Amino acid sequence: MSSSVEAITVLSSDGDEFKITVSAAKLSKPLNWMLEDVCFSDDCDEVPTIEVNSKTLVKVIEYCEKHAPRANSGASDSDAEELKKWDIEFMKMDVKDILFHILMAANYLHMEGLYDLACQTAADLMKGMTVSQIRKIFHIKNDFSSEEQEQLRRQHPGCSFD
Amino acid sequence: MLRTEVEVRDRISDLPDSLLLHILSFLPAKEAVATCLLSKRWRPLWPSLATLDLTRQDFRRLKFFQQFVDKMLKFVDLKSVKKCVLRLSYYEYFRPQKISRWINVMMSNKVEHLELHMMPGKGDFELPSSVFTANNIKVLKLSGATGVLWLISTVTVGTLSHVNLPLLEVLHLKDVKFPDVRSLGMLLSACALLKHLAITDLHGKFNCSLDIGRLNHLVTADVPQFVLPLKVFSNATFLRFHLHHWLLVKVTSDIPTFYNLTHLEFTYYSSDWNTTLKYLHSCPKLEIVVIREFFCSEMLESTTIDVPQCVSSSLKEFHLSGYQGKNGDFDLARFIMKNAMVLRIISIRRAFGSKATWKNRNLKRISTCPISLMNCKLLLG
Repeated sequence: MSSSVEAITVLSSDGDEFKITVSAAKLSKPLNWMLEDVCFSDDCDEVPTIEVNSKTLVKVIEYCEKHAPRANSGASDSDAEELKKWDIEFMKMDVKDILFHILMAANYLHMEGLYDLACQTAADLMKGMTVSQIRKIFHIKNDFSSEEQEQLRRQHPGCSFD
Repeated sequence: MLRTEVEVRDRISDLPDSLLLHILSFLPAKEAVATCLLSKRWRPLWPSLATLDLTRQDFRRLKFFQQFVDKMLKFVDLKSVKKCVLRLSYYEYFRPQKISRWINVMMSNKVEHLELHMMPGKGDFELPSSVFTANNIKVLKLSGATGVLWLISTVTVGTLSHVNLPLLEVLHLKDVKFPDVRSLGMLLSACALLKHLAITDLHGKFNCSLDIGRLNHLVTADVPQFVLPLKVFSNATFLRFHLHHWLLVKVTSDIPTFYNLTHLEFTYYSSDWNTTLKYLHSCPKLEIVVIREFFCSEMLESTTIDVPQCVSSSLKEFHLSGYQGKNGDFDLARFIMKNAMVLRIISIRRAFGSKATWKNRNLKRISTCPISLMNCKLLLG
């Protein structure tokens, strides 16, 4: 790869084109490997596809571009503080719609920071909730028979189904 | 219609086990276990938890907490547990044997991260020796607590006969009691790979100074001033010395050269110019200096002294608090402003209790000092 290339183009699973800077793409291990293997110059026709839908890819790229400067150079405490606030704002998203895709994308793209952040966000949605409230948030269907419920209730006396 | 179907799909349950377990690792153990009631998909997950966050406050009654911990340690697959956090309340009676047994079970496998936190109350807890012979442990955080009326609960280290923590990288000690200074030395000398050390409020008989070598992998240290010899920290890049609450033997030691140090914070009761300059001369790469309570009335003949290398070539930020406007303080600020060639920020905070007119008076005096670079920010407050 020539060092003059500053941004690369990738395709989402929906077939849309997206630009991502090289330094931001380095946050993902698979993308980093791609950078090393594939030719990304302007006259190269081949545009790699990332198996993430457009809506999610926009968010993932937004995250990478924000975090890349810090990951590449290291930063002061005040920057880290600012980045934390940004992460919280970034994760204020529609639960049903996109968090699931972000979780999958972070897993698939081996992005440790985003993976932890998304898992933490999912856990925060569950924290302090009852079992039935969690089911409602994530649309989880209770597929236990009444006998199984009875048995589980005996095994976990501290926990409640309601 | 199609849209509604998509919306109500249970997508989270489609995620792989590893991902669901990672989500559960951010929950207190009690809530992580309760997810087994969600559905058949979730039921078998909890025994493979990698994090056990066991907190007394999460349970209404002590009995429930104890039963829960016993059950967890019995049914969870200890081979998959990497991190254990135990937060206890000492207002209640915990049998020390019980806590020791829990810790021994946790340490019997490949736990890499152990935290033991006591809540304020009375009573001390002596750690079982298994904590100090843990081959796999990378992070160890032990904290006692100070409650109302200064009732202190400490985590106590017994007389150590053997310490083996070959992989330990992070060690935090707060309100920890040692039988003597030798035990503290033994612990630190056994952590050959230690990178991050934080100590607050040590207890015990520290009636002689400690002689241990340099911690070769140390990166950051946040430790009480004058308790350990300086050469222990000479490899660090970040060093913060804070004042110790309890009277200990003050260790006076030669100042070694801190070749990697970029950030230094310390607190003075009273000091002299010689010591300050010696520190600065010993840290050739220093970028940030924070000095608290610099009460110095001795004046400085700045024309006769060598400018330390870090001041002229690397110092970017200089923060002085507890400034009283005495001759020594003023000279220090002036010396830095005159000689620091790459300085970006100099901040000077007035001493606690000094009058409001202070700012105006000192602003005038400080702002007449020559600043070596035009793009240096001067903050007074």
